[in-house]
Amino acid sequence: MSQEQPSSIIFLPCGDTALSVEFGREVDPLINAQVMAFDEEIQKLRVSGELSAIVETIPSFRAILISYDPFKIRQSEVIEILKSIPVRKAEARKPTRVWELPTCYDLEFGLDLEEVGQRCNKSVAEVTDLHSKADFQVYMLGFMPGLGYLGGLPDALELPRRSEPRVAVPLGSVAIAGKMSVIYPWESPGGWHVLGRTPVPLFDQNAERPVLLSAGDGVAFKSIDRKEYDDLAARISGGSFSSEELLKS
Amino acid sequence: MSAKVRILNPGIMTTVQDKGRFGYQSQGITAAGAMDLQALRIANKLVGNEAYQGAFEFSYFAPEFVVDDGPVRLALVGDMKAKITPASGEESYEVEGRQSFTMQVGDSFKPGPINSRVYGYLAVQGGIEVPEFLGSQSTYARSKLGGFEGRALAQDDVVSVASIANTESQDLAVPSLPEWNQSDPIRIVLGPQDDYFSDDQQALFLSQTYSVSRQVDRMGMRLEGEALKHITGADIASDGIAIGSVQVPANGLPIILLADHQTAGGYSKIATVITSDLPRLAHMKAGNSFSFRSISVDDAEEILMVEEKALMSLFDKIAPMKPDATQIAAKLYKSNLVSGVLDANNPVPEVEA
Repeated sequence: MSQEQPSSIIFLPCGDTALSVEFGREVDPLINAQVMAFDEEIQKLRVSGELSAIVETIPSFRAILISYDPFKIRQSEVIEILKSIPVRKAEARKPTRVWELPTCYDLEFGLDLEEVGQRCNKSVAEVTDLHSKADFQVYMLGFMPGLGYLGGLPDALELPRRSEPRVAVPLGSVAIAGKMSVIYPWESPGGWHVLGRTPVPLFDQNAERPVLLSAGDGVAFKSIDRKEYDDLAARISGGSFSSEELLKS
Repeated sequence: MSAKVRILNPGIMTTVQDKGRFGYQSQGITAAGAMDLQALRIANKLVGNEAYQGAFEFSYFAPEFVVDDGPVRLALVGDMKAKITPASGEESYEVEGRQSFTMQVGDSFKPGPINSRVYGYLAVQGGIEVPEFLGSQSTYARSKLGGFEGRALAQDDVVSVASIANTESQDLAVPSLPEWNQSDPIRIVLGPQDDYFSDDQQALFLSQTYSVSRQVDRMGMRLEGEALKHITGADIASDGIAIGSVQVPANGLPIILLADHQTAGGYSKIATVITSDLPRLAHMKAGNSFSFRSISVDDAEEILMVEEKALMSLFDKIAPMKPDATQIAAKLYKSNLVSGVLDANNPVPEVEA
């Protein structure tokens, strides 16, 4: 499928309570921008009442899963309404908000920094520089609560996943694989290459909004040293920290 | 008013579940929810709760507990029986997995095993007093979210539940639980990624008999059978997952995704089980076998409406319990009304409580 102009989207049934709107088959920033724009239009129609029977949507790299209440609307009716939403041209989209995540790239946290450097023919400093200067965008969240898949990794850092996944990647680990970066909101098994760690909670059960990132957000990593990491971590556990501080104006 | 139940034996994977946590899957937060939503609704109906009020869900074995603070009215729904032993010294009596019953302080509940199904439910009139997380009481144990401390119940846990003001109102029963013909196929709607398989492979998917492997839990059910081949590959750029999705990874063996499924996944999904067949599927055990049958979305929607009507007519048949004969006899003895007239071990005529 051409990724330049999927002006025709396709509707795929996912049983009798959901359907998928597909914009393409590849992970591509422009396709994802179309997904985000289309999802925004769906949310407007939910608010206006035209699609109030929609229970929720899951926008992903190149598709949106739409769940609806089958006792209120039929799938064919959902599709008819969705067809009235114009599909925007595939063009880059400015994120609505950008988070700047303080990240410590010390070797103690960057478990795979040296190996990534060797495999990419870069010094450790060059690796962390490339990563912390890139502009990322949240393509989607999934795999575990609060885990965002961030597009925008410089080509020079593109590597397949580790051949042997770790049994436990520490919470807060900032990692890369393929063309993407992630931050582990929980300790978890994982096969991504760990470059550093952020003290910022990506998931906080007690917060009003437990999940920090949303699909479509921009993300940048700000390199901090170990002392800054400890100070921030202390401030976060002491409760004198608000995630609003991380929003770039 | 609050009551308390103390867990003597937690049963197997006893968690609090309601309809599920919807609206947050775009943030990677799994919906969870009852594996058999129909049974949950019946349990809630029997105690006059809202349809999807959070209840205890268990598999194979219900929890054994004692009421520390009460009284409480509960409904047991499952293919099983349980024994209530009153603290008053009155004789123990049996309750069936299709009725509500009332327990006083000190009364204990000892379940028998679930016979042919997997999941059972214990609803509490007025509900279980655990906090909602993002609008739902459902437990998602994998991430320690929701329910009772984000986990399955353990021995000695004390759970706050609603108490009832008086025990005068009657306990109710449904004549029978919904039944299924186990040889019927599980109905699916093809897609979203059925085009990852050739017509021949789709035909193989629909014609063969699959059996449930030992890898089955709230998250999903792995099937055994003849492996399917993908046209090019099994992997897709991850997208959102609907409950009942039939994922086919590279090994060609389907995995049906159930209540605790991850919000998104990277394997092609050949089909989705229709809503009406999800309860039956949830009660399948390792070694059970079935085949799939493909139907249209329109037909699936029709079936869902018919199922709903059937459930409504089942609700219409809910009636007050006819108290167990031995229980009445024991009570009569106790109150010395008919001492010597009736034998507790012999049936007595049915008496309305």
